[in-house]
Amino acid sequence: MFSKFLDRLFTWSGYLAGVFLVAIAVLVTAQIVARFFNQQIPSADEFAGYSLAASSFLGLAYSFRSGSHIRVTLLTARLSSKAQQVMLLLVLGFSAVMIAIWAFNSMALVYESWDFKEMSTGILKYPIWIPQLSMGIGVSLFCLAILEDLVNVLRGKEPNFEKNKEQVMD
Amino acid sequence: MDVSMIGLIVAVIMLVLLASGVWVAVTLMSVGLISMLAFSHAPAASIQSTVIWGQSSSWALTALPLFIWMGEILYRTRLAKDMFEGLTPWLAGFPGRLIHINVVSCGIFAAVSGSSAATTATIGRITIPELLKRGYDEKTTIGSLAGSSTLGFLIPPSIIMIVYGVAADVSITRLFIAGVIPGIMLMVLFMGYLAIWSMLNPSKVPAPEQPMPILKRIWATRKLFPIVALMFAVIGSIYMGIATATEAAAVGVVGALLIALFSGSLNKQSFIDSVLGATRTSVMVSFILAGAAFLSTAMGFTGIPRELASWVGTLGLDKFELLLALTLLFIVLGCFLDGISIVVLTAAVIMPITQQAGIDPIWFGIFIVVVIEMSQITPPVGINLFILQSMTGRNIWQVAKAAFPFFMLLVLATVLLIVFPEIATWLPDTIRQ
Repeated sequence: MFSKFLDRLFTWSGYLAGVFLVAIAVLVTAQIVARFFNQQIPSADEFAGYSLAASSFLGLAYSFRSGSHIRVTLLTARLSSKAQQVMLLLVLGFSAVMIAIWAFNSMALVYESWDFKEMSTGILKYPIWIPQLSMGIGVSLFCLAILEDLVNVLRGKEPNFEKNKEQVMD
Repeated sequence: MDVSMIGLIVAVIMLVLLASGVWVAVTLMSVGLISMLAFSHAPAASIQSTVIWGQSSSWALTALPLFIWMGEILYRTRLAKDMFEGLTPWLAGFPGRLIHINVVSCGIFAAVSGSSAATTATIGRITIPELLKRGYDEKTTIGSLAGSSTLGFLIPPSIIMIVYGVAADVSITRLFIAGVIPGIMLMVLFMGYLAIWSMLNPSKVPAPEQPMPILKRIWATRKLFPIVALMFAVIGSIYMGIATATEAAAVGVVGALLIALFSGSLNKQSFIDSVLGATRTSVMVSFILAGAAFLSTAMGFTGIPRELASWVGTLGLDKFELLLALTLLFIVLGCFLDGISIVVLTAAVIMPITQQAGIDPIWFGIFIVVVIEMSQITPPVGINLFILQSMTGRNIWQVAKAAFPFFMLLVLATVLLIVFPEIATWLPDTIRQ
C-alpha cells in the first residue's frame, strides 16, 4: 500500500522532471524566435537555468529507482552473496545519511531565502525561494527513495534500483 | 595537520567509498562534505546548498539535457538505416568497401550526437547485422564500431566537452570548434588502417556487389539529406557564431523532432519515451556535476590541489612527461570509472597542475576527450564495450580484443596531438581572429 504510494510519487516527480526538460527546449527556442523578430523574452535564460535545476532535482528519485546512477560494482560483485547483502546495506545506509544532510541543507537554503525575502536579480522580480524549492523537494524525495530501498534490502527484497535496471536498457 | 596527510586521507576515503559501490555522485558529495567538516573552518552546510544550487541552475549547463534529448529522439527514428543506404553505393570503390561504413556513419552521426554510447547503439543496431549478413569479418566489424563510436565524444556536439567546459570553466563553444580537426584526423587514421587491413586480408573481404549506375547512386544519396541538414543547423550555427551551444542544442531538438515527424516515427509514446530517457541520463550527469562542483569547492578550502600542484612542480617534469603521467593515470582510472566521472575528478584536482605547467585549457580538453575515448574501449569498465557486448552476444574480452587495434590508433592520435598541438588549437584560434 505504502510502497504503491511511493511508486506513484516518484514516477510523477520523474514526469515533472521531464516536463521541465521540455520547458528548457521551449524557452530557448522561444528566445531564438523572439530574437529573430528583434524581441526579447524577459529572464528567459534565467528560467531555462531554473528549469534545468528543477528537472535535475525532481528527477533524482525517479532515475535512482530506474538504476540510472553510476556506481562501481566490479569489486563487490566478487563477494559472497551474504557479504554483498551486508555491503549493500552499508552503502544504502551511508548514502541515506549523506543525502539526508544535503536535503536538510537544501531546505535550510529555501528557508533562508524566504526569511530574508531574497529576490531574483533579473528583469522580472520574484522571490528566489520559489525556484530553490525544487532542490529542497527533489533531494528530500531522493532521500526517501534511498530509505525505501534500505527497507527493501532489510526485508530481504531486491532493491528497486536493481530490479528496474533491465527495463531501462532497450 | 599537514596538507599532504589530509590529501592522502581524502584520497583513501574516496577510493574506499567508490570501491564499496557507493554511487559516484554520492561519493563526490560525501567526500566534499567530510573533508570540509574535518579539515576546514568554513560553514559546510550553507556552502553545500549554495554551490550546488549555483552549479545546477547555470545557463551554460542547459545545453546538456537538450543534446541528450536530441540523441534520444534520433535513436527512435530510421535515420541510421537511411544513412546506411545512402552511404553504401559511395563506399563500393574503397579498398575493403563497406568495412568503412562504421567509421563514416559514426563520424557523421557524431556531428549530431553528443555521446559515444548513443552513437554506438544507434549506428551499431543497423550496421552490425547488415555487415555480417553480407559476409564481412566479424572481428573487424565489431572493432571498427567500438573504435569509431568514440568519435561521438570528440566531434561536436559533445556531452563530455560540456561537462569539461562547465567543470573547468572553459568556453564550450571553443571546445566544440577545437574538436573537429582531431575528429577528422581520427577518422582518417581509422579508415587508413581498415584500407591497409583489407589489402592484407583480401580473403576476409566479401566479393564486390553489382556496381550501381551513377544516377542511381546520386538518387540513393538523397537519404543522407536529413542528417546533413541537421548537422549544418547544429554545428553550422555555432561556427558562424550566430548561436551558443545551448541555442544550437535547441535547434537540434527541433530538427530531430521534425525528422521524426516526417519519417513517421513520432507519436505520443515515442515522444514520452524520449523525454523520460533523456531525463534519466541528464539527471545522472547533472547529479555527478553537482557533487563534483561541491567537491572542488571543498578541495579549494583544504588547499589540497594547490599543494599537489606545487608538489608536482618540484618534480621538475617537463610538459611531455607530465602528459605521459596523466595519460597513464587516465587509462588506469578509465578501467574502473566512466568518462564523465574522470573529467569531473580531473577538474577538481588536476586542473591547477596543468595550469601551472602552462598547458592550454582548450587543448587539454581535447586531449582529455581522446584519452577518455580510449578508456571507453578498455575492459573491464567501458560503456561502449558493454553496449557492444549486449548487441553482439560476444563476451567483453572478445569485444575488447576486436577493439584493440583501434585503441592503438587512439594512442597514436594522442601522440600526434601532443607533438602537434595545433591540430586542436589552430581552428579555434583562427576563428576567433
